[in-house]
Amino acid sequence: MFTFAILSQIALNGITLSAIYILVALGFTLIFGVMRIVNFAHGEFAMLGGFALSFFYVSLGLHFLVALPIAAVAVGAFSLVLERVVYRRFYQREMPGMIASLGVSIALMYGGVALWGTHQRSIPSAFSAVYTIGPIFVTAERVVVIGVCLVSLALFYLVLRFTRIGLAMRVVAEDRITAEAQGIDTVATYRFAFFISTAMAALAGGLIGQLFSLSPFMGLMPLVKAFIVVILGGLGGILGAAIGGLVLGLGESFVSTFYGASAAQFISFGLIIAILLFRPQGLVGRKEG
Amino acid sequence: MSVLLAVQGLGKSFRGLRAVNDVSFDIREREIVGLIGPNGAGKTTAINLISGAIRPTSGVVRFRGADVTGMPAHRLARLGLIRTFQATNVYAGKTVFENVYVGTFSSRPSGFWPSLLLTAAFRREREQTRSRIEALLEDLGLRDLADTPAADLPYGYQKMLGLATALAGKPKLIMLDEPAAGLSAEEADLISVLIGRVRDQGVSVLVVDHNMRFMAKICNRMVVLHHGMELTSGPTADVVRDPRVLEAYLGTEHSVA
Amino acid sequence: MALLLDSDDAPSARWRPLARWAAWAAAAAALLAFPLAAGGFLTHTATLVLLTVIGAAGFHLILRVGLVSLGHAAFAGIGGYTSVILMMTFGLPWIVCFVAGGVSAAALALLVGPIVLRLKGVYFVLITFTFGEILRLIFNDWQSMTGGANGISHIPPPWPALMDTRAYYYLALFAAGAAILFCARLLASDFGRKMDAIRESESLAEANGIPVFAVKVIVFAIGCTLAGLQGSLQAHFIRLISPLAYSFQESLNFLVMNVVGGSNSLVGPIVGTVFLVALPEFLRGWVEYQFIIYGVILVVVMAALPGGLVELWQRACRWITSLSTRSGR
Ligand SMILES: Nc1ncnc2c1ncn2[C@@H]1O[C@H](COP(=O)(O)OP(=O)(O)OP(=O)(O)O)[C@@H](O)[C@H]1O
Ligand SMILES: [Mg+2]
Repeated sequence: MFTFAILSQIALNGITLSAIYILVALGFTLIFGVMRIVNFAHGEFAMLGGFALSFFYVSLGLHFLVALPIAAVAVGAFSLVLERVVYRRFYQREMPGMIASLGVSIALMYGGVALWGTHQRSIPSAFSAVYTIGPIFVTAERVVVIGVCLVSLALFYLVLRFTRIGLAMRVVAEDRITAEAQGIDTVATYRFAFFISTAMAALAGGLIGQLFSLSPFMGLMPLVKAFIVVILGGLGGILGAAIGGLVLGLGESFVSTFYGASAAQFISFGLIIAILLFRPQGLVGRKEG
Repeated sequence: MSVLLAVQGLGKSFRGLRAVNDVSFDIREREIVGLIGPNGAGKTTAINLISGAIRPTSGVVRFRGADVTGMPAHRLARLGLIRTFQATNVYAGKTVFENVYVGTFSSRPSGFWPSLLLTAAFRREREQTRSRIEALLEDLGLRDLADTPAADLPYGYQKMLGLATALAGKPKLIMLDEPAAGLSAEEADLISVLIGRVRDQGVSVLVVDHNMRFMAKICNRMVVLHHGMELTSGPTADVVRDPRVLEAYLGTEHSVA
Repeated sequence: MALLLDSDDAPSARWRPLARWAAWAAAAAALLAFPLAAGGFLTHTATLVLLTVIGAAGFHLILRVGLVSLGHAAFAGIGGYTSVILMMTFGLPWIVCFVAGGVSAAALALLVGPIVLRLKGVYFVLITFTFGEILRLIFNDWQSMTGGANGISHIPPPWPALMDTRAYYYLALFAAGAAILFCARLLASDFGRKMDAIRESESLAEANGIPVFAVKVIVFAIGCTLAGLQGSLQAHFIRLISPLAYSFQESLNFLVMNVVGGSNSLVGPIVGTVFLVALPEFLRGWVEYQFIIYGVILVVVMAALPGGLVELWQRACRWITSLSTRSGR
């Protein structure tokens, strides 16, 4: 049963999952790294992204690849309102910030219920082609998912690496006091980081909606995955999120194919506990202060 | 005078950085020893190692004749080795009285049930503790502030309260990390008088501070750290006149070598 | 009561002791008379409140050493499943099952506590979250024992007589009263002061001779035991358990109760529980709006009222006294 075809098929599924997980986890870890907030509402921004995509793509009939970025920007813009009203009060205060974000999470989740009801919906497949590359089947849908993730990760990397605001985010994450002393506009930096973070979550939410289904409660899954990824990779680290996402996506895909979905969950949870205990800074992270 | 604390070859590395490196010294009974050195010399780390807040990578700490290396801080506190911190020394949300009450825990029976069940013996003992705290507060000029939350106190009083809390634990050796930092000259004088009185009551003191006037006034002996290593030690008068000490403080550009 | 609460330490203790006694007596009488006056629905709701208070008080204890456990509901699940399985599969008498519910939660907490308590702050939150989810997966996947995702239904009441909601109310009242008195006494004792010292500054507490780690383990175990006891009592009251009831969202509810009520005193979780359990029972059909409101309240409390509803009440009292003294002049 361990033929090359099967293994590569599983790896492909795993990479698709990884791509989404990394997208979710990057935003999550960015908010923690820069503002020191464990954002429990992160999954709800993904949920909003799913519904926004459904609006632009299904209701307005835009092309999928146009609707997706518009949905992400729309959610990012909406999140800035919450940033202004809620999050800004809690920056650098880990516990109160976490609890407040729980409040945001509950309010958004049930706001979604009030608007859209509790039933699951789906976003009709935008791409139906199936390619065969040697022995592997590749659906166009998966190609799009991986492609979108790669493009946005590349963009994210470029912004972080080569722009002033990207540099500001890295400096603030490294050492906020010094950053302020050097005259970096921390408020603008926070706002930008927040926007990027929620927009990436929204993108991921759209892709999840396309691959699986939409519901106001769908935010829990991405949140839990983000937890796991950042614990694997270390809270607040960018490279760690990428590696953590890859490990989780591939691992889940392999374990669940051979041993079932709940085995995969057990193993990933067991792994988190082990890592939290022995390397709270994550597998690739470095120790703090 | 017998040796109360003996530190031998004490060392601590933080990922390659040797914050404290092969430091040895003694503190005898009723002695005030100063631990000085420029910023980052390893003074706080040395106190952390001795008090059990962190484990040394090498060396031995003996307190009252027993090897206490790596013993957790709360047990050392109960043995009579109590320290204060450079920054936070008060429970901000508690009142002055409550702060000092917490300080008494290390000198009192620690049983869970007597306090939970409010046994007669416990109540009697607590009454004694209460009078002891009141006397201590009176002594340190904090009496009128007994019901004030620590967070509302001016800085100088907070420092004083931190000291009161430490003293409430009936230390044999008290280690003070920068007790005079940020205080006015008069306030620092007050603290130095207090430290002298504490010593007269039979308590040994290890004190860290950058205020040399303050240190020279109270210390019998001094140990000088530089880059984690012991630069020199000896009677205060000798140490303050030692050119190497001045050099260490001023930086290496003044060195002849 | 005054003795139980050791209230001679509080500044207000010397203040009108008679009035205090009267207030306590009135409250006790009202609680005892409640099912006689109220209908079945109200009594049912009140019983739920009382049972939830037990778990919320356990959560409060853990919160008082500065820790948020998102595995709290899972410990209620341990208590619930243990008790129900022992009763339905092994036919043991209820009281044994009830005690076993608490003991199993305590034992697990003592086993896991020393490991997870090595972490602090958000890392502790994440690890308890993970641990709770693992327990929930076990409830979900251990079909033969736990009935899987559907759980176990038709759970018998502790005694046949307790089929009656009113009778169960008194059992719940007794249990909640005992739990609250125990917690109040614990918090007022020297141990409670050690807990508060730890919440304010762990390193200072350790330097003052408080065995921080041991205190945390004990508090965690006590808190989880209360959750386990609640789980047992609740399972036999609702007569149905399923993994869904012990997910991390249920732990979040405990957090919300404490934060909304106020996390600085034991009154907080009591007020918070009444608010969070009773209100939804009356607002059925409005569920989604009610949760939106909870979310908003949580944010507002964290931003403007760190002491929760209790603090709001205290502020109101102070405001009224200041008004009356002003008008008195
Ligand atoms: N937990 C730690 N992890 C890594 N490095 C540390 C840690 N604690 C201290 N250091 C380092 O050890 C060195 C000594 O620090 P320490 O705080 O002991 O100095 P100090 O003499 O008390 O200085 P100051 O007078 O400024 O208080 C410093 O270089 C510091 O950066
Ligand atoms: Mg220092």
